Amino acid sequence: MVRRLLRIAVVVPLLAIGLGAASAATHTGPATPLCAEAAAANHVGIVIEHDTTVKHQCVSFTSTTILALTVLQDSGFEYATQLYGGIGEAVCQIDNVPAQYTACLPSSGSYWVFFVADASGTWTSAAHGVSVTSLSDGDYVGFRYDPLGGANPPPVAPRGVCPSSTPTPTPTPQPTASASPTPPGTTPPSGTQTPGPTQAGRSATPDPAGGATAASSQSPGSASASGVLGASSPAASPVATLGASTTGAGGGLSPALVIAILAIAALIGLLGIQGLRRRRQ
Amino acid sequence: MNPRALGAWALAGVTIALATGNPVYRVLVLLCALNILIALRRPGISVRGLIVALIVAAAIAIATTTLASHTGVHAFLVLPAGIPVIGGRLTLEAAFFGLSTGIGIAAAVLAAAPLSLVLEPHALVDALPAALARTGAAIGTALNLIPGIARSATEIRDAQRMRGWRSRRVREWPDLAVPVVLTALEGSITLAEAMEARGYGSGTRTHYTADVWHRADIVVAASAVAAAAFFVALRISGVISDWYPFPDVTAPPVSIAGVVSCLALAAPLLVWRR
Amino acid sequence: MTVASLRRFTYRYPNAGQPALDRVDLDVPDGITLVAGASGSGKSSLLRVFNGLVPHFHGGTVSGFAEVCGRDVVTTPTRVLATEVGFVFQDPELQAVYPSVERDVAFGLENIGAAPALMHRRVGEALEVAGIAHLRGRAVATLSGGERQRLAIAGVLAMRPRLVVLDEPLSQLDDQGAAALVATLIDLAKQGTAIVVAEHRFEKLARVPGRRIAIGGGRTVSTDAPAVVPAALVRPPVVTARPQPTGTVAWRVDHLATGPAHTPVLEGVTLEGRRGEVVALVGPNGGGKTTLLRTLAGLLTPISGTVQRAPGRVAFLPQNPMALLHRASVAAEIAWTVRRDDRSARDAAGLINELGLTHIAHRDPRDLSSGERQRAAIAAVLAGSPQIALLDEPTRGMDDGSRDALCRVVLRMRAAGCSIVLATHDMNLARSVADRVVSAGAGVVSELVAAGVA
Repeated sequence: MVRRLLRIAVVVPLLAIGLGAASAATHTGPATPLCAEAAAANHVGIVIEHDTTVKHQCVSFTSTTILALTVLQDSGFEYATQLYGGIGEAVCQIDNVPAQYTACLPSSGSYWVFFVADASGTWTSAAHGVSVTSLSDGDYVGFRYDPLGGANPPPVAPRGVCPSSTPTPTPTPQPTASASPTPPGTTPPSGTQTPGPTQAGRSATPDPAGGATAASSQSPGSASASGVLGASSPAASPVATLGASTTGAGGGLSPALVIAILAIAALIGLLGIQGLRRRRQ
Repeated sequence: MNPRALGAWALAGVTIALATGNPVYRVLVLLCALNILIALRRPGISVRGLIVALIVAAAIAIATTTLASHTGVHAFLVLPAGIPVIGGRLTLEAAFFGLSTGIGIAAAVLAAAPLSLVLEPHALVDALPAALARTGAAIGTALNLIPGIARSATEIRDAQRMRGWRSRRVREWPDLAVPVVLTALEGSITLAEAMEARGYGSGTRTHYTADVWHRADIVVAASAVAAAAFFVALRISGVISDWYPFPDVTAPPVSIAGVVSCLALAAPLLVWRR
Repeated sequence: MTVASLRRFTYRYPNAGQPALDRVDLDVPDGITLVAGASGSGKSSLLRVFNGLVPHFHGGTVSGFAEVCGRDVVTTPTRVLATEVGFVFQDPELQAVYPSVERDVAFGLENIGAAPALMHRRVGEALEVAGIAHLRGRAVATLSGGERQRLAIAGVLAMRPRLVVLDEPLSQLDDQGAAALVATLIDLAKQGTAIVVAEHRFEKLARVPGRRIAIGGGRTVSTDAPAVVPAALVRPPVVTARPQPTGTVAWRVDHLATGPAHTPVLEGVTLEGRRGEVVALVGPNGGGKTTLLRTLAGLLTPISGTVQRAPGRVAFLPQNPMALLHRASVAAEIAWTVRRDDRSARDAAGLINELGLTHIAHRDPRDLSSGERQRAAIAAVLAGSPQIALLDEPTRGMDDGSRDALCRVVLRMRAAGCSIVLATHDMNLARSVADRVVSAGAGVVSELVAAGVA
């Protein structure tokens, strides 16, 4: 019994590492950020940085200008704000950092520093709060969680968060099926299987935490189509799945999923029958 | 059951299991493979050990993913951030992702398992292609010799025990090890003599195969290859996609074509009988 | 027609003082030729000349002339000779190359580069002639010893040889397997294949028509005279008047069910043995003889029932005792067995004497001839005046001289009050030494008509 467990203990991590390494190896370069609704006219990129975690998202809008607060709202990141008199809403928490807080802008510790940048990509510290700062197409907003009284460097350069030109032939609002070259794989967003704690949360991975814009669907598993590849194959989409279309949180039950579940149940039932039959033999 | 047909099936199963990150298809492959193992395994073979090992593997996959990845909306536990690697939020999404990985490993392993649990060992040796003929002869003789060596080891141990040998003292281990090794060596020399007497040596050799393809074998091999090819095509064209349950866990996307491909792997259950 | 001939053929193994074959003159005709000789007589070396294993595989020096099927043995490699001469060895377990029957029979044909169609045909024919066509799809590991020997013959026959040589093929077989093999050989000879067989167990071959050759000291002693079997070769069983055993009970089993891995091979066995008594256990291979012996020895726990033994040392002689020998000399092996008992050390010298090992007691057992090794192994195991002695097929592969020595040792131990159980399928041995004969087979143990005193 002990010998068997030892064998398992040796084989399984090797298998796991192997699979993880294989998938990580095939993973190609910095994955592209999402920008759903590529067909929409205007985009603002938002960059969040705390500790070593960097996340970004591209938010699109149709009006001429957009409030920074709306950008944060539409980005899909978790956030919390508090009204602070003259400067309007102050950001207390983004992406669940800090997990708990008493004061939004504390007297000591860290707080969220708000930056803006124009199309050139150079960050400047914002003068006002998120609810009174407006941005237009091609601008960027950035948030960095930094200690009070520190140097307050800006976040990473926002280049590439939003594509400069809208990709041409995509009529589909949802690039559902992934046409990406990213591996059929098990690339967990934080590079779990491969050793390397520094991988946790690096924005090299395609920002799944950002998801699509809040208005569009969560089509799970949809990697980016637009930025890197151009169009996702439109032919694929009708066959493709899932009416994840308008639901924000959990995916819905599509007919295909129901059939799959039935097939699974049938196979499990068959397993039980086989097992009984063989035992009786 | 033609060994090469089973080999094609196993290859198709492993391909499909590894070609997608979507747990729905993986579970289908896993269940097909498990059914085939239970129905067609050799008498006297138990798959219980294998299943236990795979459950442990899946548990480890879930644990490592949950502990190392801190992404996801639904956290069920928060460890102090100061701890390296595992400090931070432990999320449900990461656990599900780990589960999907574990299911993938299990599906691939179970798809390959019939090669050793369904086929007789000598059938695999016989099915080797001509290029591996010498290796086949070597493996064949090993398969023949090993049970004999094991038996002689037991006999020697029993006989030495009757002469007062006790296995507890390390000093006395040569009394078991040396005879066993010497006997094994002598046995292989005897076998070498027999092989030489039958003409084994340098020179051109041909290859004997009792390869017979029944209709059932053709059905299995063709359906498996078609299923794998179709599945890979669907994957490349984007119809079948991976499943990232981040930041919020949702139902995986399922395509009917993919489900059908996976179910085609159940063909051996319909046409093969033990 | 002469199939093979040797003229003044002399062969020495590497680093050997004496030649193994000394100026042998021999002609081998069609039909069956039986070769008899004690171990160490050169019998095995002579057989290996026919397919070139001597000298090509074993090395050494050769002089004289040997020809088989028109080819000179010394200059033709074994690979070529193998197409005309087939060789079947003594150990059924050490001849099969592939684990499946069909593929193994084709092994020889693969080696000569035969076309697949030809191979299929020949394999089918060979399986038929060898009488194992019903085993075609089986795995070799599931065959019995007799079936494996016939598999070896089939493998040889697939090459359509002119001459088939068999080196003690019956030694590991029980009566049934041996009878089937002999019948196959007779059929083969009728179909025109020449056969040379070396055997100790002449009682199995007594009715086989053919020439008899004896070999001793590397020289062939007698040839021709097919109907005459030299008296020196076939000894009558040793029968001496013995008093009935009256000793106390040394071991007893009661309603015993036993078998390996919790599957019973024997059931409901009730039996006992006394001091100074020899019980012969007969029956087919796989019938439970070894299982009963191991249970008596305490190596196998009974599934149900009881085993009782008188206190004292139990000696157990396994089926392949030569495997145990690894020390530098025969005397060292014996000394190890009796290391705990000084008195037995003195008896050991007597045992060495009795088994004719005095002149080789200092030599490495693995350098000795097979008969000498067997006797050395028996001495190593039985030394030390055991109270109970359990012997599993002790005369397997033994020549007559060794068998006689063993009988003497058994009878001496019996006189000294040891209780002996002897498992064998050699009825001659059983009749020579046993007070009682018990048969084990088909799960049941029953007492046969007691072998009376002569």
